[in-house]
Amino acid sequence: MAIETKLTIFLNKRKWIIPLLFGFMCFYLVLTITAIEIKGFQNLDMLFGFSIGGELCAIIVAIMLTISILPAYKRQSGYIRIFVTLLTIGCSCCCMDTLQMLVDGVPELAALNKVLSIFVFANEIVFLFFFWLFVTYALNSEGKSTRILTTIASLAFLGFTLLPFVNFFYPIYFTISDAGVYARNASTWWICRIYLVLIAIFVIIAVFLSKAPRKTKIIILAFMFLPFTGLLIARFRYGVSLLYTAMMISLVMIYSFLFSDNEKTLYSTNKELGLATNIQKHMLPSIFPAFPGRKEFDVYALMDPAKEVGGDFYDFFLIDDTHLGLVMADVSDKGVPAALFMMASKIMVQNYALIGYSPKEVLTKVNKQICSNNQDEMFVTVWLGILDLKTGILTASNAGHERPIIKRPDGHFEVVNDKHGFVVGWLAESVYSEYEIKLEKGSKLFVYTDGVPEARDNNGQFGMERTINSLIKYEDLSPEEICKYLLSDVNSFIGSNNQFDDITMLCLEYRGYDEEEYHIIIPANKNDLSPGIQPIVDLLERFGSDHKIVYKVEVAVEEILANIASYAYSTDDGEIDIKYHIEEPTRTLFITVTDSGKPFDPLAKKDPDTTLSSEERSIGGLGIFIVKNTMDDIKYLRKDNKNILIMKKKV
Amino acid sequence: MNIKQKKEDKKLTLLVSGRIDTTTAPEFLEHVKEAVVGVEELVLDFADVDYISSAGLRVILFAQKTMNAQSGSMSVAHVNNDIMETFELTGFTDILNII
Repeated sequence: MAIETKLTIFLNKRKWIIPLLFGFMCFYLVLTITAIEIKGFQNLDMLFGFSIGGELCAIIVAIMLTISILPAYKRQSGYIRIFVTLLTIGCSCCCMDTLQMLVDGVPELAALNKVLSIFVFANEIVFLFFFWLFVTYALNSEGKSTRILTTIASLAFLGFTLLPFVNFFYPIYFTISDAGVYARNASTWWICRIYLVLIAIFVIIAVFLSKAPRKTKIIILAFMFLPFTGLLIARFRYGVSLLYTAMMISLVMIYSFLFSDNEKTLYSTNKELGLATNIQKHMLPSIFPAFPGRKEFDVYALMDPAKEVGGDFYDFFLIDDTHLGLVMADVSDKGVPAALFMMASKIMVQNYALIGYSPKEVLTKVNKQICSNNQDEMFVTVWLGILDLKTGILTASNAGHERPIIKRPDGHFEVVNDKHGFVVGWLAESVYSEYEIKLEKGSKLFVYTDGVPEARDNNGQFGMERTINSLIKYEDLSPEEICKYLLSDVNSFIGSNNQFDDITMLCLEYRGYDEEEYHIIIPANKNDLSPGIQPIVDLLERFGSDHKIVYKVEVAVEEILANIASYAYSTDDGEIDIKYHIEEPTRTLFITVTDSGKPFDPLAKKDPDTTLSSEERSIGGLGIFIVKNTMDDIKYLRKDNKNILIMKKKV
Repeated sequence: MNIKQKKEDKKLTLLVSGRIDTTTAPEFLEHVKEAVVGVEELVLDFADVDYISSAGLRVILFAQKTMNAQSGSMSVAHVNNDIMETFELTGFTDILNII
């Protein structure tokens, strides 16, 4: 791996880098100010004072700039981190240089003068090296030539950083007199500038080779010459140390001219990414309980996305009143393209399933459709199950997805060794098979994406064993608790490490289908109609309907039952048959009331005139009137010698 | 359903509580029939009534008619929102004195 890639990864991985660098900068500022305070400006060469002022200024500007780009840092962009590193090294240059000028000429501090001077020389090399990395970043150069230049720059960097330390033994760059005064070694000091020239040449080459916009190139070149001007001045007059100040100013200029623009683009891209994540999140059913009106099953699912837009998705939907579709899938890629791919796959799977195709037919059709127009080489692994809520038979098909885990009522969670087909989206000819599993009352099903077993800490993966153990630990809890507790187990395993993949899971509990639940037969007895009313009220309350609606339905049902109990039968042994259910997608309550009494259409009766005075009004006829005004729709049928009344109400 | 009654001179207050539905309405009717004899001012206090169906409405209408016939007055007090909606739907708000 190239050194700059390694470095960038290093910088990007460590969240504390920027705060640390910022701390360093502040430290340099405090150190410089303290040193100036101690030494004072008296007895200081005017030129020194001028240079020190410039350097102090540069440090302050660097700190302010870092504060102003902190929001960008939060968005994790790599060059910002390199840039802040560069600023910090610049601050260090300025600080050391100032300190050196302050101790210069103090005989007691001759040794410190020497050490500081050596560090100034070394620091400059580090600064230049990072400047080079920054430029390659800014120019977005990744070619072979850049790599060669970077390799040379890295090797030369090592050599030139060590070279100043030679000064401990031999005055290659400078000498410090007994009076503590610094003097250049006239014959060899220029060696220290070789690296500067080298980097300058490299930058020029890189600029010419780069395909970056012309504006970027001009800005980099233009501001790079600022330090050279500073150098040129220093060449003639020692004491005017403008190099570091100039380097910092040029850096700030490059940033403000170049990257403030980049920032804007980055900002809008991030905004779009945020939108994509949001849209994706809202495509997944996420209101729980999802089917409050259904007693025969409970389902819960969650997705804990990694930082980027991921491609995981889950889905569940009623195909008809007795069939529940369950989907767990993982798109191969990440980012916006994967999110779009995911949405398309999700819709296709759901649509084919809603039409009534079996799981293997759905996968075969979706695969064909995606393959016919998939140039991005993306694929998706899908587990699709359709549960017959009456029989508990789960028909499922698996296209390269993680195996489902099932808990039998009398056993523990176990992985089902199902047959895998090929992933969806790569081979138009892929054939999928399906299998059946009978879920007994009390069974639980758990499906997930690889984000669960492959969650990592420093030493390894969460793994299937831990997954199963966690599931077994929580197996008696509700699907929601199982998912949430497992997620918290996975998260505590990951600890402070970055979550690199979406973690998605779905848990279903099958509670068995109870025909009686939705079908009641009561005696047509006016003295106790509540067995025919209360279950409907209970269902609505479970479903979470508004109290007002529940109340009205309760009155309406009572009126209908009371009407039948009063008029339909001439004997005492008549029965009323009540069937009811809620159609989830439309939140509509259906009630069908049947009796075998004499033909009687309650709707045919004329409505009472509710505007009459109490004297004129007859007692009676109000019940059916209330029902008509409460329910959204009522129909009467006479069929097989039975009166059938069908009522509808949005609840 | 439960009914308590308070009589002050010619004023009768019936404190009804619970549900007035098909099952309980006949009992309510009997109670009203017996209690209103000779009453000039009848108050049905519905503070604790949480449900009423048409069977209950019939009793109220019967009571109103009876009071009209004995030239007395009748009022219904402390009606909750659910029941008030039923009263509105059936036009009872126009014929009853609801306080």
